[in-house]
Amino acid sequence: MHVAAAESVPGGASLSMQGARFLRECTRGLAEPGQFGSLAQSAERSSKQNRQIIASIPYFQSWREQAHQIKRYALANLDKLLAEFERNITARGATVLYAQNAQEANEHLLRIVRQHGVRTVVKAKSMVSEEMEMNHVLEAVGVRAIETDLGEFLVQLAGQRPIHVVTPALHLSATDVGRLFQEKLGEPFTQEHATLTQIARKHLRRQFLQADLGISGVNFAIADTGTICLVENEGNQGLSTCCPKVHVALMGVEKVIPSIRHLPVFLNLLGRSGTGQKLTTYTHLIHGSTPGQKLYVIILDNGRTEVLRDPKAWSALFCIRCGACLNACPVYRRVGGWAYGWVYPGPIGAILTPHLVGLEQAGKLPFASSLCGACGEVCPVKIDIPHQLVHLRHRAVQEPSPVRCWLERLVWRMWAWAMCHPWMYRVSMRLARLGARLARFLPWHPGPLGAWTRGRELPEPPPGPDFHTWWKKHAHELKTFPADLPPESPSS
Amino acid sequence: MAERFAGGTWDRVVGQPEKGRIGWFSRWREIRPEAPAGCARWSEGTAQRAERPKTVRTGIDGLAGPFKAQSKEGVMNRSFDQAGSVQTIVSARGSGKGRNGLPAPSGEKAGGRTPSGGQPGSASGKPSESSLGLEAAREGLGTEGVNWSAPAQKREYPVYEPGEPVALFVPCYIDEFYPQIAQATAELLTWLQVPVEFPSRQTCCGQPAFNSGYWREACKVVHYFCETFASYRWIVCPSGSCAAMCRVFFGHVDPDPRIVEIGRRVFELTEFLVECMGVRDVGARFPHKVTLHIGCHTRRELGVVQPPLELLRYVEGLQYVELPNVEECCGFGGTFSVKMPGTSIAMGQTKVENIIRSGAEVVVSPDISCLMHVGGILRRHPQGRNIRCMHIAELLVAEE
Ligand code: SF4
Repeated sequence: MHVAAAESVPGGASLSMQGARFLRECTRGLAEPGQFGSLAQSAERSSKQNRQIIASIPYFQSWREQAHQIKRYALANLDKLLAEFERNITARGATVLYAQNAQEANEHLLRIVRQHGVRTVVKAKSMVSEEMEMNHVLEAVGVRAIETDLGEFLVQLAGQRPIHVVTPALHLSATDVGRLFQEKLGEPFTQEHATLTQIARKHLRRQFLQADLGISGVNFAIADTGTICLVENEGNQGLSTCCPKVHVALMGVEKVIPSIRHLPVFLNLLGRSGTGQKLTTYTHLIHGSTPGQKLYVIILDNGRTEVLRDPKAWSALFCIRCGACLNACPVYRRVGGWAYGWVYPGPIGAILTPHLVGLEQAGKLPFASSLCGACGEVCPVKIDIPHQLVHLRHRAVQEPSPVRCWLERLVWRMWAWAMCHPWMYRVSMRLARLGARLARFLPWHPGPLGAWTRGRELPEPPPGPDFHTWWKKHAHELKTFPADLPPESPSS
Repeated sequence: MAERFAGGTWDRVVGQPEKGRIGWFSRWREIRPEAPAGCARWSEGTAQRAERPKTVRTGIDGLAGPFKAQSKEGVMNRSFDQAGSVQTIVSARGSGKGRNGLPAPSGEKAGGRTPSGGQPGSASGKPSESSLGLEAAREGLGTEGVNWSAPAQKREYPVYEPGEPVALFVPCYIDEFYPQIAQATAELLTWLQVPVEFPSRQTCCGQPAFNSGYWREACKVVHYFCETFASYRWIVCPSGSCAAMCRVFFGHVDPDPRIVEIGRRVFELTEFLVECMGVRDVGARFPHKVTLHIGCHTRRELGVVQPPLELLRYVEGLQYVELPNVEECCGFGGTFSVKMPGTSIAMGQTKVENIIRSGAEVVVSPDISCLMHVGGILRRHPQGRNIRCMHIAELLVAEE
């Protein structure tokens, strides 16, 4: 199926997986901080809160380890568990459809739409639907898809893309929202949170009752009971899944967990890491279709099983989309979610997008990190994001990708050669020192040098000799602490 | 329905998935044997692949509530009131009274040697796999514990015996741009009766190429490093990120156990002093207002948070001020600083604002690379111009 052509406007409404240029152009924003109003503060606040929660629960680290092991087991036995999940949920009236890529999933969806004569769709939050670009596909066949998650509703109104996986409208302040409602819905301007919520509620409630089809994501698919678990705070998922006659649940293959016994640990982690709640306001467990209603589960692969081929990278699939790594990431807070070019922003996007979309397009993403490790520290399923980033960098410079460059490789080759020969090391370090001295007198600084001096002073090499030389001359002059006193307490 | 909830289905061995229906999985089935092997990383253990488990026992107790975790040291019971916060558990070491504006951790006696075994009560207990019914899975997949845990997780350190020779590894940029740090390190260690040696063949640890993705080039340098330092039991380096490269990432570049083993002998200066030697008071005097920035590799890859604080605690006349948002990255990140300059500088500026807000006269760090970047921004900042940047070794030998 052909999907609408890409617009490379940052935050523009449409982007296409098929568009070959989109990521290269979108990710230009990674190098420069953007202006996103309240994004940085909000993310930082959530991150601080998250840290406090982690610190206040002594067994949080054990939960993380458990969750990691459960996911590990689930992914290693994916075929069995998916078959089990399918068997158990089909036994209670659901229909399970497998899709190898986004296009197949869209075809499944359109077949359902045609079969049930659907005109309007209410959609709860689902990252997979973003991957499928479902809204555009439905639009193309004349079906109206309405986002019912408040944040998604706002970004849909504003014609933007979600900026965060959990809180899609994190960058909009109450004033922005008031203005948006005034402009798009013709409501009187207000900044009050309660009134704004009422307005959104008024507009959305009508849609739930009219809609023919409800679409939701899946947070956890439980194999042994054949259950779909959905968590939410607004009640819109409950309405989207119950009100319309047909419910379509979209999930990636990696969402399956072995047993309902394993669910509590994930619920504990997800609420706390995502929004700082002990438990989300609503937790839905859907065991099958209600009599008189239809339930379809579309299970999407879209490159995920390919990730399992790479033993260093497959834990990227453990992600439960809590968004903690985004909040913790100092780079994400500066550049915003759109700079990452695709559905998944932040550190998780930097390790997942290159796998799902391909390094040819997303090869630059793993470089958008200072490797500070804040993401790996907070991830509730212990994905070693920082190590995966370097692993992907390694792959990006070897495989066809926008960062592969023969000149750079040559430079590193020469560097490696110099570093393996002490005399060459001496010469090159001398040159570096000389360069740093002279650079101050240059009228302009080319390349990386210019990038450094844009906001920083160059380090000043000291007048004295380097350490190698100093050591040769002065090593014998070093003083030892008088041996008759124990070294532990020299000051006493 | 009821049986389903009792976990009946889970015990049954699930057969082959129907072909055709999810046919493309067959492709994946063939590759599965490798899939689990390298998932866990930074625990350098090599994963072995055994037969896949046929059945898995379930039975879960205590997922919520006071958690019963089984660790190597034995069973520990922990609940909220016993443990307090993670922060208090992990900082429960060191001296008795608060000094220099540093909070007083309770526990061991002042200045004593840290027993390398330590209490089992670290921030993360091993989970009770038995209660999860996943031990079979673990067996099958050969997993090692995954170590992305709390920053101040307690690690075990070998004990340095007096008189053992120590090789000094001076990273390239310190050698050329900050030789005074290497001098201070040598002075300090010699003063503490450590026989310091300096293999003059040494060059670099390979980190710049490794972080840029050029692992093949990095590998050559890593091999050269290992050749140079192969004969030393102790290697001390006054830079946390280079020590992290050696200790954590050598295994990524070349999983050869000999390489990994040499990498593990590398210690960051402050952790060597405090954890391996058990030294806290080096007799330094530095009557200034000081704040501490710990580089992210030092903090998170090596888990070194307490040692520099311990050393500062015993510096005479020093007034320690806490840096707001201390754990946030300064934005240096090696080549990141020139590849994404705008973002890097923006992060550095936030750090600089926090430093100014803390009111410190001196910023000290075990990582001079961060301070090269932060100091560069400080020097352009109207209020930050007079704030000095120092490596912790310089501070410990300073005569002021
Ligand atoms: S990678 Fe970890 S922290 Fe980030 S969204 Fe996924 S589960 Fe959450």
